[in-house]
Amino acid sequence: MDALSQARELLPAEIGQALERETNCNAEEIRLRVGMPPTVLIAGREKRLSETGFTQVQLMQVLEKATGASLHSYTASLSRGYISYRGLRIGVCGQAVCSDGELTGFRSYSSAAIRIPHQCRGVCNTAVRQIMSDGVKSTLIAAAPGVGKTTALREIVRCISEKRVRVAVADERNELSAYNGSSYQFDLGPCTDVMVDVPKAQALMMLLRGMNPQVAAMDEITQPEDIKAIEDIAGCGVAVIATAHGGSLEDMLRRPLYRELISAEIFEKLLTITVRDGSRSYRLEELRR
Amino acid sequence: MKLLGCVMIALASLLGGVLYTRGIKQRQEELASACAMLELMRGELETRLTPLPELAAELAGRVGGAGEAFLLCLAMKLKELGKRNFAELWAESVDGVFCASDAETRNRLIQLGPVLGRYDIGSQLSTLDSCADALRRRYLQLSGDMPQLLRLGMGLCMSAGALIVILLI
Repeated sequence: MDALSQARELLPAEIGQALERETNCNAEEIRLRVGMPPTVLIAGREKRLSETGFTQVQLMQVLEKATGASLHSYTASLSRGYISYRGLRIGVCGQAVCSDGELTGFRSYSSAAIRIPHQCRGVCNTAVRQIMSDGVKSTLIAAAPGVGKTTALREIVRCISEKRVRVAVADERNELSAYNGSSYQFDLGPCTDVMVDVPKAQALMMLLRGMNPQVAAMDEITQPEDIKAIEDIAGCGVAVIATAHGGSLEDMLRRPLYRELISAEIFEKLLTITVRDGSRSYRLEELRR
Repeated sequence: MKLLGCVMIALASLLGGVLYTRGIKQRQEELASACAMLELMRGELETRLTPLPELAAELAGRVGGAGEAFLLCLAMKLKELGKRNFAELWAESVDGVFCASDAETRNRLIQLGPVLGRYDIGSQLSTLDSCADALRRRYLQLSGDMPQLLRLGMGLCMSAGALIVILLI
């Protein structure tokens, strides 16, 4: 079952049918807000799926279905603001409950965003060839949110793995592989090992010690611990492919975390993804001068 | 004909007594099975934070009796999650399986529905403990009263039968 069908399964019947009519497989996100009509994000624009506001009861039913009525099993990911359901990342908003400064749950939910992942084979082919031209070059993939970093990372990992290079993936949110307990719903290639639902920094160390990777991949560098783990793994001769938020090199250099990352000179190449008039472009540039 | 009628009344009262005693024993068995089930559920939730659909499927084979039937029923009903909420499906499963149990036992179990899977794990475990304690007390009380209840039930049914026979004769 593809990601869009799985997302439709979560929704009330009439909204699922409206989604099927509207999207033609190019939906990026489904937005559910209490009191507002549900919408689908296509090419960066939200389109209504109904004229009736989404109710609190309906939102709870979606979350119950996604968690198997087991919010207690998702405490760790909820504390980071999301739930993973069969490869779908469902971001949640609401009134949180905290204890000793730690989020322990939500008193009520007000909105959810269901991200629809896509496997796009052949996307950024030219960039992939250059990354793999003389051994795999450590590459940083940068783009604004929702532009396609994860999709590009997935494809790069698959292409590298197809060349019989051992790739280890730290898939903290289960978005890259969409592991459902018995199989991966996305093709990451025949020589890829994936660690799911473990914080990225910890996962990278586990993979380094246990899986002898030649390349390590991770999505969204957001914490100093991520950079430390990347430094450690790169210091062992492992190439790293990772994503980060940023529209350009200049944009990234404005932020202390990414300034530190780039000054560490781990990455040789920067792949920037931009969207204009609904069309994506991929630009690969050298990072090490 | 009168003799035949008296025999039938005697058999009917005996059957009534047997059904009554069977009902009491079934109530006792359901309480015991529910207590065992709640203990296993507690263990799974505390140590593995097991999602409830997986918990129902896994524990069904380990409980036996009414507990097994309940968990199997729940596992089937959970396929309707999304269309109906968990508390409703849980309550229907309780009412459908714990038929011999009294209203208080069923209510105790039904009250778990709105809590499980929704509150934080600490609250879920407290609620499970509270329910399990209550059911255990009822089981001990019923077990203690069982000989007396069986004698009383059988005695009442036989006496009622004898009285009817005497009145008819």
